[in-house]
Amino acid sequence: MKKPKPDEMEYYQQEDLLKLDWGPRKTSWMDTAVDFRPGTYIYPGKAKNLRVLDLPNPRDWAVTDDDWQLPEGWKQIVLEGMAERLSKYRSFKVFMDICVRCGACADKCHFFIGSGDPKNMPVLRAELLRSIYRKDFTALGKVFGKLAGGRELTPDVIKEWFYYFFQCTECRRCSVFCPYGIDTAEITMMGRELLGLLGLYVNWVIEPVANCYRFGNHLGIQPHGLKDTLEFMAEDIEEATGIQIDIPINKKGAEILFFTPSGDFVAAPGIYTCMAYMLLFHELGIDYTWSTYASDGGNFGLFTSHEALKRLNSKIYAEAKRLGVKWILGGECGHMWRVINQYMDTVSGPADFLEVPRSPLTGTVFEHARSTKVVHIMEFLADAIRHGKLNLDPSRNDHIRVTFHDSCNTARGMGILEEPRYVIRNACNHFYEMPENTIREQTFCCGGGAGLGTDENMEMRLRGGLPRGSAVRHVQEHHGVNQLAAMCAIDRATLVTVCDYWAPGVQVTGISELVANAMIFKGEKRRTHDLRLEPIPGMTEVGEESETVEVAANE
Amino acid sequence: MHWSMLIILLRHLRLFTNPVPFFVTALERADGFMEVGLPVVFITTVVFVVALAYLLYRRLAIGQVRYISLVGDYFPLFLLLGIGISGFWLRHLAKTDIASVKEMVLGLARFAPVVPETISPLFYGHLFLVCVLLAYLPFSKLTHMAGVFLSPTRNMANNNRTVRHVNPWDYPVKVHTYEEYEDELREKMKSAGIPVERQ
Repeated sequence: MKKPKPDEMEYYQQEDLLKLDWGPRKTSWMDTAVDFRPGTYIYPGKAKNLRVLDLPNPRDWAVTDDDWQLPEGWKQIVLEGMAERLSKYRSFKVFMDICVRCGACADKCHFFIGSGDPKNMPVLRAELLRSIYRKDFTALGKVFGKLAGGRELTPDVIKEWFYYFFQCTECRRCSVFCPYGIDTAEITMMGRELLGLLGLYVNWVIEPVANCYRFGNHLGIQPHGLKDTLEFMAEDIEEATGIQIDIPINKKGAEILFFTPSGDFVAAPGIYTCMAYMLLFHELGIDYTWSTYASDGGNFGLFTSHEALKRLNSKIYAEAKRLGVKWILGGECGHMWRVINQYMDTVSGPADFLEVPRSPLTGTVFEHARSTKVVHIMEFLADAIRHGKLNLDPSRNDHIRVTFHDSCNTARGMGILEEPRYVIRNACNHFYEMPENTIREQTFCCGGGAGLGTDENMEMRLRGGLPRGSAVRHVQEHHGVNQLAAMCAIDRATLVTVCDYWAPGVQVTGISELVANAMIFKGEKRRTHDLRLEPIPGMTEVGEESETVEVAANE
Repeated sequence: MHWSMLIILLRHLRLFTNPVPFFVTALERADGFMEVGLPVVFITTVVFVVALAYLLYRRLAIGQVRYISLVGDYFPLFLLLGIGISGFWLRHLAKTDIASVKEMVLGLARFAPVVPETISPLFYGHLFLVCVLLAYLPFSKLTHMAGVFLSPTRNMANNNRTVRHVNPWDYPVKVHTYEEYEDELREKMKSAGIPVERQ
């Protein structure tokens, strides 16, 4: 058998990962250098991607190089960048000043729980930046230096930043427990922006940004490719349900512009959720359109800099204006919704050319989205279900025992807690919650958000996924849970690995997929297979089953 | 502990004012209702010292917390402990002559200092530590209280979808416009049957 590599799950033995030491290290954290071990870091951004975006210092380099080829005067660049951000962001300034190192955040971080590395305690992650801030920006630090918790900015500090700011998924769980509400995500973002000034990016983030800038989506799918992709999905939909659907693309004058993260165009199980959207819109007679120019709701700019975020986000309102739609509907995604909720209106608004969203099905006006004009698919579906507009037969999902993973951004960031649960309860008869301190505002991250969901980073993903994986295993053992629903494309990609590793046997699904599988469509054929083209237990003869599995395997 | 500190502070008003305000006397009566010892031991004194000792113990005994601690985390603890213990000593063991202390303090306040000889050096130690505290306070983590009110995650509403928040330093960024996008991909879009703006 081939020996597995550090970017493969099989490389890691559970008993090795579980040998955890959460205690302090022998050397002071300021004197402990980073150990770049394969599987714990992400490869650097390629020069070609930096050039697409006109970013500084494009070059090809490796994390394991001694010399990272920092630009001339790099120290000055970092300190000036820091000064500029301290004056612009009150969050940054306040969070640099007010921490009292009480330690309440320490054991709340999934990366600390799963790795035991002290610098993965949110407090120390922030101290990496704070120590430089103290040394160069505070009176006490200037006079007393190390005694006041300050330290010199050296290339080793930069390496440390690179390692640990790309070991934070910006999930904000720590901020829930911080007495001052210090949001480590904001600190990580600042750290990444400062690294960016020196041309230090990870390719897993910056290539999607470059792609999205040029082609409208992270994967670089070109317009004709996107059309093909959606048509393939339509064929599968027809095979599963017997229904033929239209695929409106760049349609002027449609009522709604629909967008969703591009991850759902290519990878299972996200594609089933994407199929579900099209099927539901077809059935409900919604006048919507896809856009090829704004074909990604996701925005890896969020993981790069506020400027990159704005450069990508501008497309959505611009496209809504060009197509002349009335309002915008967004699919299941995590960080895409963080951008919509927290930034979009400010950086790309005002969207005064759009109307306040109003459901064509129920007449409900979504007042809470009065300014952004963007509604979440769960809000839309929950409203439709409430008004009895969806013909659901939850018993079709009776073979599924489902639990729900709150995505950090929608749960903690926005407070969308009830809508997805309401929708799931209406689509499934068997719904079980994970333990209380792992859901809702206290939800545990998938371990792969904020641009860390790549296989290069496999060890950290498995470690970061340990708390979530353990909670899934808990409901698997106690309630026989076999599916985990999540309304985030990154979750749907990374939790597959987490579940396979920590709770094997649990599949990952989107919520809309559950809805589409439970829904009775007008003119549907006898539903023997779900959207994955997997046979629905109790609906197929024994002989039929093997044949369909073959079909699915050929896809 | 925070309440203790406030009450202790108010109790000290006795040393600065004449006549002693009624609420100070009332506080003293409530604070000493257990009537242990003579002079009566105040509950707040005990709570203050014990709470500080616990905070110090926690910082030393829990490995992770010790690992993240800086000098700036220990210093205020020792300072406050010093103030608390010397204060306790002055009241219960050294039995300070409060009348002369008051004479001296009021003398200072009137810019006509007098130095009564009956005051122990320990009192000056206590006073010195308090002065250090006052000087150190604004630069130290002890102003952490401000953070509770200043933290944007604590004092801003999560209403961005309803209300537009304007960024005062907003600036234009370079974007890839639809026209540039279509110019690059027009032929591919046309052959796939996707509508375009210009033929």
